Amino acid sequence: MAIEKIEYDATHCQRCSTCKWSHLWEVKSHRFARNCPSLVYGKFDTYAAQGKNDIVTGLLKGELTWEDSKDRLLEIIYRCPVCAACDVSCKRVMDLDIIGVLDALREEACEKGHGPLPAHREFIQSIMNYDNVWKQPRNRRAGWAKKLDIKDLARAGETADVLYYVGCTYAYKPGMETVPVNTAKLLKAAGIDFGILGAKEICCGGIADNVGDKKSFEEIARKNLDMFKATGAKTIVTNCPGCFMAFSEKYARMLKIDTAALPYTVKHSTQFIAELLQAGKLKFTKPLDMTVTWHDPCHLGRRGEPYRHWEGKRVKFGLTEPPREMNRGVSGIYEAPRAILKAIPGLRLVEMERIKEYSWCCGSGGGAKSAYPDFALATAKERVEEAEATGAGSIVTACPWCESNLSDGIDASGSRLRVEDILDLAVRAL
Amino acid sequence: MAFSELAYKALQDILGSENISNDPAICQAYSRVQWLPSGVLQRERCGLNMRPACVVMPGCTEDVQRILQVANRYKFPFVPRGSGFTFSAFPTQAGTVVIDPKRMDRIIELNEKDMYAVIEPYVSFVGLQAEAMKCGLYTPTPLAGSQVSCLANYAWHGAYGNSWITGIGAQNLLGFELVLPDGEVVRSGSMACPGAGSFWNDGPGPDLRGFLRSGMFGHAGGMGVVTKISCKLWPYAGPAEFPCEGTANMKFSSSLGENWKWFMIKFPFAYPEEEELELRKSAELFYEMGKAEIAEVATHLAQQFLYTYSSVTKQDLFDNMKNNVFPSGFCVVALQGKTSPEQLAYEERVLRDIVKKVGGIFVAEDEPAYQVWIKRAANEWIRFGNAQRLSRSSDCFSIGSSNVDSIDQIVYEILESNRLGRDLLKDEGLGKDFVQPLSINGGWISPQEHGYWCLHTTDVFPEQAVDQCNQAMEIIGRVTKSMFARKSAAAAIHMIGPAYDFFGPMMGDVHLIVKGLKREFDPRNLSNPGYASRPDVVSPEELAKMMGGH
Repeated sequence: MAIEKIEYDATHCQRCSTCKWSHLWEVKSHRFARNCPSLVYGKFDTYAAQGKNDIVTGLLKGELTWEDSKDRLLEIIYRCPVCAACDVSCKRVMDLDIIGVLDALREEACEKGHGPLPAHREFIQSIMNYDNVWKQPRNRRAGWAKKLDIKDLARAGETADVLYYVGCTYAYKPGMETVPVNTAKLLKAAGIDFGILGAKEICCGGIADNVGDKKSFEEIARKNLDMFKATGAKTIVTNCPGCFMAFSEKYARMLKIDTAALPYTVKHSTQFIAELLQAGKLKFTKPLDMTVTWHDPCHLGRRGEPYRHWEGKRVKFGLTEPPREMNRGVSGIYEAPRAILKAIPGLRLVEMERIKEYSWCCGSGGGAKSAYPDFALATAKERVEEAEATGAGSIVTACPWCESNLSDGIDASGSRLRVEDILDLAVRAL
Repeated sequence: MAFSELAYKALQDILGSENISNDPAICQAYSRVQWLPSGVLQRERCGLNMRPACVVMPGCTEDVQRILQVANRYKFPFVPRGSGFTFSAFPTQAGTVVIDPKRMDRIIELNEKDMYAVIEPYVSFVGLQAEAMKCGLYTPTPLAGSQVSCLANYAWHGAYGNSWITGIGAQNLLGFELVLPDGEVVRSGSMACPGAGSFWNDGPGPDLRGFLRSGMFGHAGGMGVVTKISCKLWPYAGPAEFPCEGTANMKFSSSLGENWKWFMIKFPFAYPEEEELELRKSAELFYEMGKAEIAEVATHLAQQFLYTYSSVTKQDLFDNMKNNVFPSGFCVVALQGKTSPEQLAYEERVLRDIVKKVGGIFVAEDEPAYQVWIKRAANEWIRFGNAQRLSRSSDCFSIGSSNVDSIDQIVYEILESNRLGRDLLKDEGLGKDFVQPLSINGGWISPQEHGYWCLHTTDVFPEQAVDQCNQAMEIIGRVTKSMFARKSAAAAIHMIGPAYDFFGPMMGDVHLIVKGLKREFDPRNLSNPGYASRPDVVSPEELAKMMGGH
């Protein structure tokens, strides 16, 4: 059973409810004190990390079976963006691997043949059939790059210092092609030798891992690892936080090695651009007279930390042997995007109440939007309300899923906010 | 016992199908509490009877009234809860309905001028404090953590970081709205008079606070459902936002601005050899401070608080203990210039004179104890964000003994409790597998209301294993019994529910009064029947056996 590996963590939950709140020292208002979209929407404790710990305990002890309530269990497990806000809150006071519990529950669901959900299967099947989640033909993948004269590293003999991996959604979703176009413009402006995989680019597979389908994920990941090796590129830059996390954290976890031991370095485009700014290779000169707030994508922040492999066991008092350095959501990418925004003349950055490792999720991740669109929309509307409270005119972010879901939230709220991709702003300021 | 379909339908009609569930997966999350040894044992004994028949979510007082009316019609027990942190918030028998108040989370009024707030059951301390701080006010913060329900904590007990000023929960309760077990609503204090404002607990209108409580502790839902309270807020001269820096577990908060100042004070005695001298000097310090009526926080912290709250990981905790970062307990004092910077300067001068007079030493900023406690955890005493770190050492903890008395008498009780606990460990091996030195080495002196009275606890840290939890209960029971034998005002905090009949005769027969009230107002014993009024979980005979026959 997948859940056996996190038995200690689930069964030693204190039921203190810390997982349900933002860092208690960071809470600035009653209105925005909570951190768990799944609980706020579902209301019953079961939807919080605490409840999921109880579910695991019940399954392990035989008090609860899939037959008792299969549909509800699937809803509890999957109506959650796996944003890890609960994990950060819990680990601050306890040393319990909550994100491990959430992942193991999804894996368990798949092992038992109940998961993933039909909406997720559609994504995974699309990857298997078309190498992308959107059931689009491969030859349209690099449509955005036409006339941009970008190297195709999938061609024999073609090499570059940097592999720019675009990701399915930025490559295919109408209206989002500005992001890869603008990324290419920025890289060119900085004189970076880069290339793409063109029509041969394959989905990162992150969605399969997110929903617990480890087998499909591994199949996809292996293909990508082979492709990366073939290009010889040592640095991979990607715009999509989901792809970033897959290449950085998920692939390392699958290979049972530290992220640092991967044969490549992966950087999110905000990291790479921030480094170029700092090195003086890029400079923003055109002022943008706007007030914006930054939304931290979960896969870039809390879940964007490098993986640190650990094999060991819990011993007396729950200590780990050998000692385990747990990820606590603190070393994700929080500063790079802010550095970019602060470098744009005239632009004013105002922060929301819940930011960085305490950020409120947009509601889209972990397959939540595809399977539970109402939940995703409600979660986005909460973030829109929080953004509006800052007085900003735009929510800026760097994730195609967040951008899409927050836009839906704005439409549904009747808000006058706009959603902007950070690199679109960067190009306007060049 | 199968839950009546008709009853479920009646509840569904009241609340709507989205606010009720009898799904086993939903109810499973309301079926256990493991951080207390008594919770572990309760689950062991009650098994799946702790899983409710259904969970309901009322949105207002009227919903609660109607739920209780249905409970009386169909004769099912119900357990109201706040955040569900403590063991009394769980069913002990099959067929119980849990009332989860998440939809009742409004701060109805925050009265800046009269310094009070009217709140619903799911308002947390942190939410209320965040709003109060914007108005130059603040709430106490309970050792259970600022994530818990403010209402439930005030109605039950409540011990706070700044109890030196605020006292316990009862002293902060200005009024309440209670739905009695039969569904009737009563209101207490000035809250009972429409338009009077909810500022005064004595009236106009009836003062019914005693009805909510039995001795030091509330009935935890044994006498109906509290749907609103009015609670005191206190003057606060710090920043509108709680100041902190760093990230997640490595977060520090050591300053509340220029109007606040923290001090750590120690005495030149060896621990544990001269433990008594150190504790007696601490008591002297507090008496003198009380006479001078200075300070916002004044407490003597035992090692369990110092180590657990300030350690950023479980491993860090054990490393700090190994490195003897806190060689003994320390007195911790915070001064607040509530009215002016001059007040702060005056109080500091007075404190320095008192510390000199009683032979204390201010812990220097470069000492490890200062660096670890003040830098990482001092402001924790104003807003508990890391409370659960107390039980991180073994993922389980319990108050091993507790009582209430004068400061001097509390010091005596700490010494006696420690002596007995250490003897039990040495002679009978009780607690040998617990986390040491955190267990049975008490020393928390918590003077209340300028030292007018005092409480203390000595704690035990077993693992979540039945045999260790049984040992913990035995230690608790035997130490508590010894307190009664010494005629001390023992309060046995976490034993009072299941052991009510056992300890009641030693506490002025308070159990008989509660039972009498219970019979009058809840003749069917539907309101949290496992708590306070009936020893459903542990019979007196079992309890005596559990305590080793003492």
